[in-house]
Amino acid sequence: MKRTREQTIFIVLFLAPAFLLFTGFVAIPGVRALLYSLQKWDGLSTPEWVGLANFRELFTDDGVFLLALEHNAFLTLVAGSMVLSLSLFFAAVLHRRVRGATVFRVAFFFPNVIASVAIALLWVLLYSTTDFGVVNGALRWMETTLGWPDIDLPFPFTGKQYLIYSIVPMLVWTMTGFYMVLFLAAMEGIPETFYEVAELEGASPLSQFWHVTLPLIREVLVVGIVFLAITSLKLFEPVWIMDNEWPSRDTHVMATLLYQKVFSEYNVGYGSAVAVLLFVLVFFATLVTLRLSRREALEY
Amino acid sequence: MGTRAQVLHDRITTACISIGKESQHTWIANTEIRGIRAVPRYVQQEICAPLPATHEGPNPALLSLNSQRVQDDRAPYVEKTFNLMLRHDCPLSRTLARRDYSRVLISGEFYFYCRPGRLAWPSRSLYNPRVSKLRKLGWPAAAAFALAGATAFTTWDGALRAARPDSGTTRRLEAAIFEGGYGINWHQKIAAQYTRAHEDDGIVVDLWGEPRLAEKVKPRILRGDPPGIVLESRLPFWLMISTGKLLPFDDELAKPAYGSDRPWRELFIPGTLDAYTSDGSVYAIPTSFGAWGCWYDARQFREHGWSVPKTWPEFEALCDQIQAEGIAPLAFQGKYPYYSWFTYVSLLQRCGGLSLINRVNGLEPGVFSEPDALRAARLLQEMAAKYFQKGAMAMTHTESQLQFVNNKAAMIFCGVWLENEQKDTIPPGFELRCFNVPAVEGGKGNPQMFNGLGMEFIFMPAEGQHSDIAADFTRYLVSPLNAPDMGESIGVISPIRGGTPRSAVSPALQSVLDMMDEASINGAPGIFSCRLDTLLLEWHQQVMVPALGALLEGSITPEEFGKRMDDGITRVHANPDIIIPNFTQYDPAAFGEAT
Repeated sequence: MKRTREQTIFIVLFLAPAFLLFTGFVAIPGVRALLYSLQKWDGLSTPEWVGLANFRELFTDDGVFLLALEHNAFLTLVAGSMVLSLSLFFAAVLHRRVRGATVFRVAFFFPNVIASVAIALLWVLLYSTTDFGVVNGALRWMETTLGWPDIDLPFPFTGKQYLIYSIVPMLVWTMTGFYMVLFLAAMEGIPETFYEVAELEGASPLSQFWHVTLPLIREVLVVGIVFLAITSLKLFEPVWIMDNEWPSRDTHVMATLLYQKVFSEYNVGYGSAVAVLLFVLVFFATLVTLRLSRREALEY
Repeated sequence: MGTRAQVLHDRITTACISIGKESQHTWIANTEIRGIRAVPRYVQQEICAPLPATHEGPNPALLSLNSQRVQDDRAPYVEKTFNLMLRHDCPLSRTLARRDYSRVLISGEFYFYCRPGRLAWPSRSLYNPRVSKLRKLGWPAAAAFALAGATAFTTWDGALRAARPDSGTTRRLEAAIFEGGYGINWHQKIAAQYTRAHEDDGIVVDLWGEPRLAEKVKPRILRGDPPGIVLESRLPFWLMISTGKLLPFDDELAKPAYGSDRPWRELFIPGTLDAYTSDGSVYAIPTSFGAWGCWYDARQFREHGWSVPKTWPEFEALCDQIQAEGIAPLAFQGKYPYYSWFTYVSLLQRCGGLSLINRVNGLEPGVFSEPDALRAARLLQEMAAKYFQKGAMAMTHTESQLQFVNNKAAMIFCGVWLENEQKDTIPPGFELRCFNVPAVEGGKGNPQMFNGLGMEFIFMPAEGQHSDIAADFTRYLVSPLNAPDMGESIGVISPIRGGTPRSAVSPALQSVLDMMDEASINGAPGIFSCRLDTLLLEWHQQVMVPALGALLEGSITPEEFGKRMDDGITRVHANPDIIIPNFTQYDPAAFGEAT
């Protein structure tokens, strides 16, 4: 079918906003970041082309990038798998209609409506070693009543040594609700008949979950995993806020390292190289996950 | 070998040309601005005519051009203003080089005004000859790019401040001041005083400030349109000095200070001008004096019968005594291990004397592993392990300082700004006082001296307007004339020696003045400071802060700490991009230390 002039104008008009936004705010800055990563530039003097020197520096420097990468990997694997299993568990339980499901659904989703900065500040207070610290207060109470854990209190949860570990519970608390709702929505879409049949065949709730629910929400599960990987790789606010805008090698993740290199140390080239690698990682993580999980979608 | 942009820069002159007309009835025919062709033929001829014919293209002299509308009191009929980049070999370039502002008649009815040096970044010029090729992509692409450009331009320009232009005979100095704990009210008051005093000269000082000043000023430095003076600590000043983006205050320092007959330079507390001195030129003027000491509540000390320690063993005994009474001896800003840097530097001087400080300032390889430096690190680590409040390593500066002012911890090492920072939380009856870092047994350093330095520096960007007013206003701001008022209004000790009278400041700051008096040796104030933290940004962030944190947490030994610091310095030496300027050596003998 031949397009009329009106149609062309229409198409162009409707594509233009997205195209403009993408060009202006994604494509052009992206390409520029790529170029910066091949330059030595402090933001003031004339940029100098240095080829791949910035990338070499990432791996040969004093290893701060590798440490940041390690922290990202830790958070992705540990926090990610906890979020995934917990959200699946909660979704399955809510799907089977426990008492008060609606209340739980709202309660679990609640952290998602709070700004991430506010969440980080909230957890800073929870972990505080001053009198505000709820966690340390609880530990102290346990220590006096149960004699456990026998450690030096208050424990510096947000001290540089422990920060990365202390972030895990926060991430799990923040993210579980969203994935739970995501998976729950997928589960609600599964026809009840499947479960009825499984029940008649004598399948236990666990095997129903394993053989009916899981295969049928596979698509959404994969999307969830991709989201999780991307979110954990791009993690910024929790570390930035909990380390008071001053992370160091003990606490850096890639995004904070990037920011600090560019805006505190004025090493635009290095920072852009981190950004490029971050992009490549996210890109491949997505690609691999999608490829591994490619299978015919089941229609019902 | 320079890059392309530099080569270009050597061969061009930049100018701002306002094209107008003499009468109200004739208008420039070509009002449509499309690159070079918008310039009337007369202008093109004037600019290009004498060039050799070998040049190709319509306008070889004109390298770049963009336009904007202007309001200009001096030329009511000015129609358009063009920013031009001209080759050096065109006659207009030479005219511009000779004059500050010239009016050139082109033909009977057209003229233009020229002002040199408005465009500073040839590589970032808005005009790009290749843009015209876009037209081949058709109108959607062109429209899309235009819209994107317009959006970017308006948001970019709207989000940033720009210097207010001069009008008529008025010359405006824009002063951008970081709005921290001291606020900017006092600075604005001084700016108003200065403006009133110079009313007849038509000088106006526009002073503004905000907490996130660095983020506003940095793009303007990139754009070549910075404020006349900037007070801000989070910009890469050494980088700016090395790239010629800052002007020195040398000439101004030779002039007599406001409120004194002596040259301005001689009035500063010696050492306070050192922080940004490069090859003898002073690139920054401190507006306040910073001292590092240990703070305590005199009332609490009195009630418990504690006394101020003079030596390290006394200090440790005091800490034990405080601890025995169930109070934490020391609060610490553990989230920022950087706070212990100044205590560490003080201990370096106590243990190794000024000669050790000199070697650290000189970035000597292995200096942090010397026995004296290791001893300083060990003292710091022991102090942290034994006497820091529990959980201090997870406290921010405000949290830990709050613990201190609430008497939950008896002492805290901090800078002179502590009182101002906690002014809303210090309870009535709290007697904030300061004592010097105690002497160590058998130390080589003179224990009367203390870690003191200039702070809150004012810088003069090279591309800012009216550097003459900028320097003069800075001299007015930091002067014996205004120092007492500064102490009274915002509780700042002036870097002008003796500028802040005791009567002008709080008892807490009086105790700092006492410390200064005690440190006065042979008539010279006994202060020292280490420049590494401001000089080496990356070393600071990636080496020093984490190493100090690990040392204080006890996860590394002093020897490992010394090695980490030294390895960092070795990497600094291996990096040719890092500028290491000369520095003023301290003279140990002058301060009664053995050499």
